[in-house]
Amino acid sequence: MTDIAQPYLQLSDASKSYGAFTALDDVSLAIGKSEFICFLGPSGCGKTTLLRSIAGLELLTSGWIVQDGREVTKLPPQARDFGIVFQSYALFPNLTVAANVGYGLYGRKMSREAMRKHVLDMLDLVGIANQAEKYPAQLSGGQQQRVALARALAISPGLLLLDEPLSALDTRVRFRLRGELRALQKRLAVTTIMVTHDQEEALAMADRIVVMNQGRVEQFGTAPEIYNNPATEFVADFVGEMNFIDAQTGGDGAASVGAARLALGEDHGALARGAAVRLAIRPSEIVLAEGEGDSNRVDLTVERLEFLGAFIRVHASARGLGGAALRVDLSEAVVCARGLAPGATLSVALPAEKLRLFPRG
Amino acid sequence: MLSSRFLTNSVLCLIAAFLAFGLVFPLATILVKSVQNAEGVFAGLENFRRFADTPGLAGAARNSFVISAISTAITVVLAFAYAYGVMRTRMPARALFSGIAMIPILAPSLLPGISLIYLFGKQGILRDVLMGHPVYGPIGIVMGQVTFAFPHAALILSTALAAADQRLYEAAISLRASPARIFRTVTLPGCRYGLTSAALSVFTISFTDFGVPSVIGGNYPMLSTQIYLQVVGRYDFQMGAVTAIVLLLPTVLSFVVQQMVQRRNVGLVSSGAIPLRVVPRPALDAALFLVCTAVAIFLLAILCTAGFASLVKYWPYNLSLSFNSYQFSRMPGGGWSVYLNSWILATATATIGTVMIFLGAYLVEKGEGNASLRAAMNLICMLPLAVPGVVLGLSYIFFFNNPANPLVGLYSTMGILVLSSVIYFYTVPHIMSLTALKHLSREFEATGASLKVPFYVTFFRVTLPCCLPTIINIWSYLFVNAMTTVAAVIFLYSARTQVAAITIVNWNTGGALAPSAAMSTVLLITSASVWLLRAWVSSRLARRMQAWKEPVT
Repeated sequence: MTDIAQPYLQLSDASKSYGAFTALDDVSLAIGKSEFICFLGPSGCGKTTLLRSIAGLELLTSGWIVQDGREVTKLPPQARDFGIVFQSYALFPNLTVAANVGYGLYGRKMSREAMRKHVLDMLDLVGIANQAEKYPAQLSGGQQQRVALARALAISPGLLLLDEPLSALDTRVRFRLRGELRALQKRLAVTTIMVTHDQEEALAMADRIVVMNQGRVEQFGTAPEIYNNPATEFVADFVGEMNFIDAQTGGDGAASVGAARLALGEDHGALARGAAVRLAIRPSEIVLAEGEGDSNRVDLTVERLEFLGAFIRVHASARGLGGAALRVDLSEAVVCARGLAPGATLSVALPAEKLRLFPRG
Repeated sequence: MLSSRFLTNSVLCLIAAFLAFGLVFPLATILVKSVQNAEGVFAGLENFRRFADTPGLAGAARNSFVISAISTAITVVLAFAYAYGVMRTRMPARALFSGIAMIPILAPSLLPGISLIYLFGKQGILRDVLMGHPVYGPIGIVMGQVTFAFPHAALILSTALAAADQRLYEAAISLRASPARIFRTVTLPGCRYGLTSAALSVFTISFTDFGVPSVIGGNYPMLSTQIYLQVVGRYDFQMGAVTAIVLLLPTVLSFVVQQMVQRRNVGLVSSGAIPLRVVPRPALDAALFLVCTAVAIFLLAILCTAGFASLVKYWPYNLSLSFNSYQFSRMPGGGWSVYLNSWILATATATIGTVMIFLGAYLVEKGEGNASLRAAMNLICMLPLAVPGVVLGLSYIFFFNNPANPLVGLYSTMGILVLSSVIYFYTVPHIMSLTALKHLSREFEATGASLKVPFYVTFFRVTLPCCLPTIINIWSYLFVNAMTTVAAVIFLYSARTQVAAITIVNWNTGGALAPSAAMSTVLLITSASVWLLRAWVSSRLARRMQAWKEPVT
């Protein structure tokens, strides 16, 4: 990771509104040189607007953007330093692959020969040098994606912007390109921002992830930080699977759900006693109860089993917790050994250190 | 480097000014004139009262309505059967039929009238079919208008009938609906917007057409010929202006309705629709084949009679071949120079119009900023469809033939004919351009900008090549229409700028039917040649563009 004291790209209080609709709400970010950043969020959360604002394709209503020590807030796209790959690729259909990649070299003081060599180098870089004379429509989706990437990289931009570049591809190609894209980015050490709504893609690829919702940044951190310590209930719900249990704070580091009492790992002294909260725990974090003495032991009635390949997700209601719905991920072996079926009873424990707590408003 | 914003804004303003001076201001002048007396003093509705009290004019308004309504009913019914035969049956020669239906578009609207005179007139070979009723008047006008408006209705209805969802028909069949019920509950509702649109278009075309009634109307007064009479015959410009407004009102109304219909028409066939599989139904196929054959023969007869009659010595008594009718230099105010003028008008209209309209559509669709100006321009671009040619021409007299107007120098030049033709035919090419531009990715301009390439490079290297087929279609559309138009130029030509279509009107008025037929034929052949050339160029281009469109396997 690079020194964030000297960010390559800095956004300060960036806001964008269309009439009464606020697309971006006071977004502040500092991105280091050569970082791979993902903007993650549901559709309409403002992630694409933020990317387009960085490109200059949209202008901010307020706030400013500094790139590489230069303020670019009001500059048109032509005057900024970036390359972009759109979701649709936007390859020019009437130009060959080579002409598409060489498009940005227009007006450069380069010899024809040097230009041709540069284009071929770029195509080589993304592994499609043998397709140079074809037209985009004659290529597969994955190949078109590579052309778009080569075209964006051909002008040697300081910043690479990717707007859902993999979402139009089928799963297998997407998985392969994910790795290739990340490796290429590491090799070129180009600062990269990728917009995606696919959390798995973001977790797998990014150095750091910006989780967005309704034009705001919910959390900005590494993949493990986001997954293990979600900053808000939104992040907890959006990234990964999560059980939520409505509760009240009970003081002395515990929460009460109806008559039951659940011990919490951390001290949440800031919250007043009796405040409405929501407890969160992942289905994979719930463990089978060992014996009577377990803390946070909960008895479940199994309602439904969902076979998901690597594990079985048990949908159950927690009798002790006022019938709250809980999902528990168990291995197939455990399910078979215990003979779990709809109607069966199962005792589990909710480890105190895994119970996250969010205020309920 | 020139600032791209500055450049696009300048061009946008230029085109906006063109539309303002070519359409908005002249039309406004008509409104003003209609409430002024001859001295230019405000007279309120006095002129309209005088219009209603003049039997000839009020009667003409009534005639125009009735005749147009009859023409519309006949045209839409025939065109629906014809289009249904072509699109929804397995009858033979469907491609040929769909081609024949389009031919009348290539002819001047005077040609059906001339042919009808040859067929049903005083010396017509089929005169007895009318059982003593004269063709000069309502009968001839309706027949001519049906011929002239038929291609438009057939085109709209073919498009409506082409879009159908197989799944709806399968659902209806599986629910045991009878063929008649399926037609009533699936087919008709599926193309009700097409039917409305076709009816409104045909009504507008018939209501505003000048060519047919001027040739075969006899003494039967129609609005579009009366306006000419008021202005050119009587110099009564006030009545002219009022007549123009009476002509304008129904067309504007039908235009508004059509826009509303179009807005509601989106999403009728969903993107997941499965195209209809047309199955043979022998009895229906045979019946529609007969209907289509009858219509096609009628259209061909109308189109060919004038051509044939122009090539014989003396119709119908001496049918030996002769080129006498083509000795145009013997005719008053004639000679081949009027034909040359037609070429100048058509070429200039097509070339200037294509550049102007496509650039305008590009800036409206892809421009940045000035959102309200662009929206207003888009609305104004739709307006010419609602303005009858004679009304536009008359408004130019008021606007340009005014010593106070600095553009007065344009009056009675070829320039004003080109201006009025470009404006008159503006809407359809504008819509064609928008459709083509909407098919291009919105991201092309952004990509160009991200690669630091000026926008005009992307325009010339990507946008223009991708839209070339549309641009060729626009050019030939404008050429053919300018070549054959009468309405847009009848008020504006001078002795030096007289075009062939006008000459036909004048000769015909003077009783020289054979030369009129000959000149009409020349225009038809010219248009048809350009149209064939267009088809050839388009197919060559399509072959070259194949590589960008279809994946090679």
